[in-house]
Amino acid sequence: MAPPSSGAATASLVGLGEQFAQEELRSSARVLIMLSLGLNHRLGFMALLALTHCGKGSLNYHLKQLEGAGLIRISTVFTFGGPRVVADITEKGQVRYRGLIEELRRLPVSESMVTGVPS
Amino acid sequence: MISGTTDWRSAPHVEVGSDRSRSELVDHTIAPDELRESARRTLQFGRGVLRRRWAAYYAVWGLAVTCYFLLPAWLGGTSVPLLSPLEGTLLFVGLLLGVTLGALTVSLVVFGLAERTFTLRLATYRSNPFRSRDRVFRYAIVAALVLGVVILSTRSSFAALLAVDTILVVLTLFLIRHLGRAFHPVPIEGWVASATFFLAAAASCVSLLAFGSETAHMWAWLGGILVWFGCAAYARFASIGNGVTT
Repeated sequence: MAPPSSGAATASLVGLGEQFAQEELRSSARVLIMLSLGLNHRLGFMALLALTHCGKGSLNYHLKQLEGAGLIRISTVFTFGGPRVVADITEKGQVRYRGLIEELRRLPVSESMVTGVPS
Repeated sequence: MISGTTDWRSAPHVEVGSDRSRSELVDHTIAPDELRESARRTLQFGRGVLRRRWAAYYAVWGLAVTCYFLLPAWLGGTSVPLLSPLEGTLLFVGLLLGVTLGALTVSLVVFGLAERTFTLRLATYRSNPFRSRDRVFRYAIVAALVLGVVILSTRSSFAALLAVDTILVVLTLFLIRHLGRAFHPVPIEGWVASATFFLAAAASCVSLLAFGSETAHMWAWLGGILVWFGCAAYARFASIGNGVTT
């Protein structure tokens, strides 16, 4: 695929800036949580710990921030292994997730995308 | 449901007020590379979740095909009929519908996750090997369905079995397409499951055409079912430690 033109790249960066200007996405952990919940729709607290490598308190803080913004819903479900805290993405969260995907798609192609090594 | 690791004690412990806990909580504007790196980590973690969901898919279809074979034998095989013909038929149709609806629901969930993974991967890496072959897959599936319906129109039980098997042979393509969109690369149990599915359907087609035998047809599928259960167990086992948990 051809790299986007400089105009498109600028528009992408402006869009990205607007997305991340909002308080709820001003953290890479929260962005990671949003992307994972957008993909899987529901994840357990322990799975999110494994994903983000955060401490429990920090993860709790990030989840509360996202829940406060109405992007996710936290609940306790009962399983054979006992009660589990799970996070589900909301309708508003789905919209934000699609926005993130769109921004990701519009980002200029970098060398790290080809080599797999972050620049 | 996807839940966490076995217990809370295995989770990383971070002292309150430590540098790490502070750095985790500091808000900042996300750079483009951070977004891309998050997407990469999501895909890496999602692979474990996805394998676990595919394990459910193999198991539920293995169970469904087992029911397709065993239910008629079970309901019609007793010397003293426990149910009237009408009750037996209703029970048979009800159970078949239940099993099929359950399997279709699991399939929809798994294929939905496969499509979302594909979209995220395409946005992150801008390429996917299965994207260019998409049209070929679509045409092949439509052609198989048309062929199945044509065979079915001859209205004999033999033709019905053959039609179902013909549709199943090419439905393997549908399975491979979704595996290819979900995983990069496709895990070993994915290849084994789709190859078994194809071989079982093809072998039963050949046995019906060459020998007119329904026994070989049954044995081919029973072998396939066993392999599918094996694939389900392996996928579930392999997903543990790949981001997902017991």
